[in-house]
Amino acid sequence: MCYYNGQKVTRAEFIQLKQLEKAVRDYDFLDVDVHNGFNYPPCAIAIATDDRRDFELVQAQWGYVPGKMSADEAIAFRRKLTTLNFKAENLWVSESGKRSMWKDAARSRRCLVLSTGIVESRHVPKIGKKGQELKETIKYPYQVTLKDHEYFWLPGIYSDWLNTDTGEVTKTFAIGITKANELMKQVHNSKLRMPCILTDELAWEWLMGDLSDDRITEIAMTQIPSRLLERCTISPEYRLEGVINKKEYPELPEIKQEFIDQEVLEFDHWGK
Amino acid sequence: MPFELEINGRLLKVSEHELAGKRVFHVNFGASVKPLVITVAVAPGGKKFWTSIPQGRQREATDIGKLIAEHIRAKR
Repeated sequence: MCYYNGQKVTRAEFIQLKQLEKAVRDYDFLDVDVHNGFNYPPCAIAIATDDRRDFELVQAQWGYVPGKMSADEAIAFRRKLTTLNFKAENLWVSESGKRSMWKDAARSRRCLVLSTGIVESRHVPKIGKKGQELKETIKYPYQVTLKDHEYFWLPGIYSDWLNTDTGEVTKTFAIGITKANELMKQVHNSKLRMPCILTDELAWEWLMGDLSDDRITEIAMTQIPSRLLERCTISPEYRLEGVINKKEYPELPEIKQEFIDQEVLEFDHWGK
Repeated sequence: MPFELEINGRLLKVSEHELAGKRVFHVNFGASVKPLVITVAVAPGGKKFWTSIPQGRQREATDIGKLIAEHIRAKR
């Protein structure tokens, strides 16, 4: 007879609990509110099964690293290129007009990234002593979620990165971003971009479909209408602690609603 | 999906996972306390009890495990 946590258990149960200890040590629980991309955290992604009839959720590192690289090379690669996101416009040709680094993966290694909300910062100029706007800005973080949905899917592209130091293979991925809608133009006003949020039908097509390059681009450009999103301001500790705490900022100007109601988007695949 | 439980006025976030063939619950107390992982183990004779994984936090496992069981029963 053995004891586990002071409780009597059979030897077989004891062995199973010890095996579970190892599994718990190796497993990163995916229940944090916010994944800060610049920490290259583990996240849940969906990849298609080989027969493309179903998908499985696997753990992957946010921050795309292609092929074989040492850990130091991977760090340098991510620092140089910031591969947390891919622009839907640059899937085939890079901004400098060269072959895109995403090209092969966009055709054969598409995935979905599970999200419950996104965090972006609104930049508001500081006011000088004479009441003038300064170049320096204050960042106000917002959490943006999808109305009536506990979670949603973002299009992703993944790669199996072989760490040449250890031989370890790690799935890494990037998230698709598109042109901001009217709400996100105000929230993420420094970049005017937003993550591409897919309908369930488009998410399935992205993952399972045998798609032309044009269709891949079309899906990756999807812009969710502002009226389907909810937002709130949050306190800045989300960055370090990974938790969402709502916080009001009385000095912060309201988001303008009138544009949201009249919004027309180039790539609105959500319909009415 | 994750759910929340209140214990001693404190809100805990709980998520369910399957690991090594066992159903485990990850309990997040916030930034100040280390998260707790608990599961149901079986004593000789078939009696079930909650235990922390790894060992060392049995009292918390027992108290929070009861609340999780109540939460799951209430959802059925």
